[in-house]
Order: sequence, then C-alpha cells, then structure tokens
Amino acid sequence: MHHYSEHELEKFRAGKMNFFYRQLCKIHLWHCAECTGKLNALDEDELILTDLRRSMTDANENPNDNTYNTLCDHFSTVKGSTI
Amino acid sequence: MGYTTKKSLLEAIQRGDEVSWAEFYETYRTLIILRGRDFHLTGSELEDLCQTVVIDFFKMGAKFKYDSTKGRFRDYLRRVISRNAIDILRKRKQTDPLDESTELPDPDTRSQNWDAEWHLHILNQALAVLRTQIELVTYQAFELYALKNQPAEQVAAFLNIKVNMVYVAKSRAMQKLKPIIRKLKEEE
Repeated sequence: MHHYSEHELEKFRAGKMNFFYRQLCKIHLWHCAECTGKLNALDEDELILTDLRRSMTDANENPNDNTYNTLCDHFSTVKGSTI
Repeated sequence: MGYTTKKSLLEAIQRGDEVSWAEFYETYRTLIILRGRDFHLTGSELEDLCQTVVIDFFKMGAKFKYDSTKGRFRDYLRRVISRNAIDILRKRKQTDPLDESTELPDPDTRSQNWDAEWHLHILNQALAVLRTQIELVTYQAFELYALKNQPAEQVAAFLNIKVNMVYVAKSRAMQKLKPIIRKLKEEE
C-alpha cells in the first residue's frame, strides 16, 4: 500500500493537491491509520506554529529600542564583582 | 551574538556560571516586554522596564551569577520584572493620580499570563536554536511558508527551489523543532 509522506499530506492539508489526487488521498485516509496519524500530527504542529507566529509578532511590536545603547552606557561605567 | 549563546545562556544561568548583561538582555528582552504589557505599560515605559530589570540583575557588577538553590530561575525573573513594573506604575501614579490604567490586573490573571509568556519565550529560544541546526535555505523556507504564511509557490520562487522542497523544509524544521522545545521546557 502506498503511504503518503509528510510533505504530501502537507500539500493535502494546504489544499494544494489537484482534485483527482485529493480524492485518492481522502479515500486512503479513510482506511489508513498511519497516514491519518501523520495528518493529525500536522494538525498538532499547526498549534505550535500558531504560538510561534504569535511569539514572533509580540517580539517585533516594540521597534523603538534605545535600551541597548542606554545599557551600554550604564555598564561601561560599572566596576563589577560577581553577585 | 550567536544563537547557540541563547540556548546555552539558560543552561549557564542554571549551572551558576557567570553570564554577561548583553546576553541576558538579548535573550530575555521579549519576555520582559510581554510581561510589562500585563501591567499596561506604555512603549517608553516598556523600554524603561527592560533597562531597570537588566540593571537590577546586574547591579553588583557586570556579571550575574544565579543560585539555583534559592528557587527556579523563571520565578526569580518573574519577581524582578513584576517589582520593576510596579515601581514604574507607582511613578506614573505620582504624576497622574487619577489615571485608572495604573490599576493592576489581579494576581491569578498575572500568574496565568506569565505561564503563557514564558511559553512564548521558550518558543522564541527554540527558533533561535533551530536556526543553528538546519541549512539556511531550509530555515528560510520554513520561516516564510510556515511562520509568515507565504504561499509555497512564492516561497519556492523567491528561494529558487522546487515547491515540494518548501513542504519538505517545513517537515524537517518541525521534526527538529519539537525536540528542541521539549528540551528547553525540561530545562526550566
């Protein structure tokens, strides 16, 4: 039996398979626990990716950052010893 | 600054090794900002918060040495950020006593928010580690397709690779990324 690779299932999931191959894939998924499992794993990956996208967006929302320069000035005048 | 430094920074902190303020700042800046937003700090106040948190950690000198016997690092960091955020709010309230935005969110909400913020911080660190572990073009394809939701065909054209390779890149990146995330969470 032909099993679908992860990136083939990725194309299926993304709606990038043509109609004919998409139908074949659907029929295969009805009967194949292995490939259904891989597809479910891709759905779980999407949850991680949603959080990753949010983490990237949140990280970029404070563009005016003079903090580093201010800290450079501060620490260049500090004579340190370990805490 | 190399991305391996970010991953090894937490390990170094937890071992009690010396850590530089620049490494600390670059690693935890995003987390500090996320936390600062829970306290409804403005843009300039968030910058102040980043400065005061880093200076607070390093106030005895230019090196920080963490003592893991005194508790988890993430809890210590949370207390330092919260303390500095509250100080900023107090200063704001002194300037404008009627400003209702200085009211703090309740502790339970802040606690839940912190867990979510730490989770996002871990994911950011995981991406930094991932960048060092896969080929540049693979990472770029993953970032553009999976993270920035660009169509696979456009990503392939931009990177001069086949469309199938974009899907393969995502698959490879996720296979690497999930164990990295697990490992970073175990190190908390």
